[in-house]
Amino acid sequence: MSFDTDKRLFGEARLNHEQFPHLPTGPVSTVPYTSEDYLARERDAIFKRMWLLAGRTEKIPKKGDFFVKVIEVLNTSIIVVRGQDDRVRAFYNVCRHRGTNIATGSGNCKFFTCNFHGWVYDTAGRNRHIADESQFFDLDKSKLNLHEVNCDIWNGFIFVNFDEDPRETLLEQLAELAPQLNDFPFEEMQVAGHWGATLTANWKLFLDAFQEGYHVATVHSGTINEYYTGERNPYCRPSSVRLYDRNRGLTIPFNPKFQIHASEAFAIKTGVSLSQGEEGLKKEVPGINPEGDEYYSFDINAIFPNWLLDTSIGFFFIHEFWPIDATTTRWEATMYFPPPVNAGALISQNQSIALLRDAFREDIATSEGSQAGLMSGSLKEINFADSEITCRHLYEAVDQMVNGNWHGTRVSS
Amino acid sequence: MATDSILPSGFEDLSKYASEWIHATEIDRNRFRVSCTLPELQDFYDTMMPRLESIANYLNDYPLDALPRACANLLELALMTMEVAPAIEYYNNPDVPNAVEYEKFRIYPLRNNYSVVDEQSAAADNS
Ligand code: FES
Ligand SMILES: [Fe+2]
Repeated sequence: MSFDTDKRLFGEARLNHEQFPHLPTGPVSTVPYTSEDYLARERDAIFKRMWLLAGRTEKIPKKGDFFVKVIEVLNTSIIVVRGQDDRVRAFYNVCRHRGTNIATGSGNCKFFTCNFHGWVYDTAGRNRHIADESQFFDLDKSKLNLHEVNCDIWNGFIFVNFDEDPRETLLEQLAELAPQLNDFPFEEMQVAGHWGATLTANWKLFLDAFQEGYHVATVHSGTINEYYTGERNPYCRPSSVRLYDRNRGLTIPFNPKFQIHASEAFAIKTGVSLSQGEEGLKKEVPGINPEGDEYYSFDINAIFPNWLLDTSIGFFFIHEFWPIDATTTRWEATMYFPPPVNAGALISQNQSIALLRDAFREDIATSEGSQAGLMSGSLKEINFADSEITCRHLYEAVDQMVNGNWHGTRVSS
Repeated sequence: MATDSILPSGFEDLSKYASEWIHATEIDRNRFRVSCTLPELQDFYDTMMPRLESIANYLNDYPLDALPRACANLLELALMTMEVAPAIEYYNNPDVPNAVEYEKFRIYPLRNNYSVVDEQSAAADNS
C-alpha cells in the first residue's frame, strides 16, 4: 500500500491536504449555499453545460420504453426513450405546437401524442402528424420534430447535456473515474430500494452530508456508527481520497471489532449485507477499493456536479441532488442489488434495505437545520476539516466553474 | 402441502402473526413497524429470527416467480423480520430516532421480485 492507513485514521497530520496541496484550506463563504443569484450562475455555468444523470438503461430495456425526467433547475422535463432502432435518445418534453408536455411518468409507446391538439411524434422524435394541417401557414413539418437533447451512455448510466455543443465529452467529464469503474458489474444489478425527499436545503449542503465520514459518529449514533467507527477509526475518516478533475472518490473502512447482529449474520450467510465485514472481502469485485484498504467497506464516488455513485461488494447505491431553488433540493436515493436468485437472497437483501433507508433518514435530518442556520446570516464562513476535503473540493470546483476559471480540466477551447 | 392453509406445514405456529404482520411492500412493512410498540416488535423478532434459516431453506425450493400463496405469506413474514431487525438490534425503538420526519420521507413503490401463482385458476386449467 502506498500509505499507512492507521496514520490516516489516527494521526494529527492533515494527509489529505498534503496529497492535494492545490486545494485551499481557509474558510469558505456561505454565499454559494444560500444565494439565488449564485444558483443562477450555477445554472448557466454548470447545469446548462455539463453531462447530467438522466437514469439507467435497464429502466428502458425494450424499444419504445421511455421515462420522463424532471430537471427543475433548468425549468424543464425531458423524455428519455429507446427508439424503434434501439437507440436511446432524449428530447425536451415540449410539443412543437404550443409547448404542452407530451409525456408523463414512464411507459412504452410507438408514438407520443400531444394531449392538446393531437400532434404526433415517433420515438425518434420525428413529427408524424399535424391535425388539420392545411390550416397552418407555411409550416415545414420537418423542422417541427421534438427538440433533441444530447444524450450519451456510460456503463448503463444515461446522461444528457443541454448545451447544443458540449465542451467536453462524457468520458472527458468523468475523467479517471470512468476507467476506475468501467468493470464494476452495474448491469448485473437492479433497483431494490428507492427513496426520496424534497427539503429546504441547498443542493451542495445536502450532498455534502453524504460525502464525508465526519458526521457518522454523531448522526448515525443510533444506527451504523459502530460499524464504521470504533477504536481504529473513531471519527470515520476516509482511508483514502481521490480527486479526478471535478469528480472525487473516497473509501470508507469498516470497524474490524464490530459485533454483527443476528439479521446481519443471516444476510451474510445467505447473500450480501451492508455490514458484511471481512466476509465481503473474500469476493473479487472489479472497480472497488482502488487503494487496497484491508478493512474496505465502500467507496463514495462523487460525479460532478450533483450525484454520488457509491459502490461496494455486491451492491451499489446512487444519490441525486436536484436543485429546485437555492434553498430547496429534491433528493433521490436508489439502491441496487443483483436480482435475488431465491427467497433466501431476497430476505437477506431486505436487511440492508431497511437499515440503509433508516440511516439515510438520519443523514438528511440535519440538512434543514444547517440551511436554516446559514440563512440566519449569523455564520459568514464555513471551516472544513481535512476529513471534509470532499466538501471543500465540491465547493472549489463549483466556484471555479461559476467564475469560469476551473483549472486542471481537459476542456478544449 | 396443504394449499388452503395460511402458512406451509411446519410453520403453522407462526400463523398467530398472519392477520397483522404479512405485508407485501416495503412501504406497508415500514408503516406497520413504526405503528407497533417495542414489546410487540421484540416478540415478533424473538419468534422469527431463529426460524429464518429454516424458512429460507424451505422457500428456496420454490421459484420466486411462482410462489403458492402460503409460501408468499411465509416470505412476507421473513421480509417483515428484516424490516423489524434494525428497530430491535440498533434503535431499541420502533422508528429510527433523530431522523428526518416520517412525513417528509418518501418510499417509492417497486415491483416485487416474486409473484404468487393463482392456485385456483391453475387447478381450473388442469381440469
Ligand atoms: S400544443 Fe401540442 S398539439 Fe397543440
Ligand atoms: Fe451518513
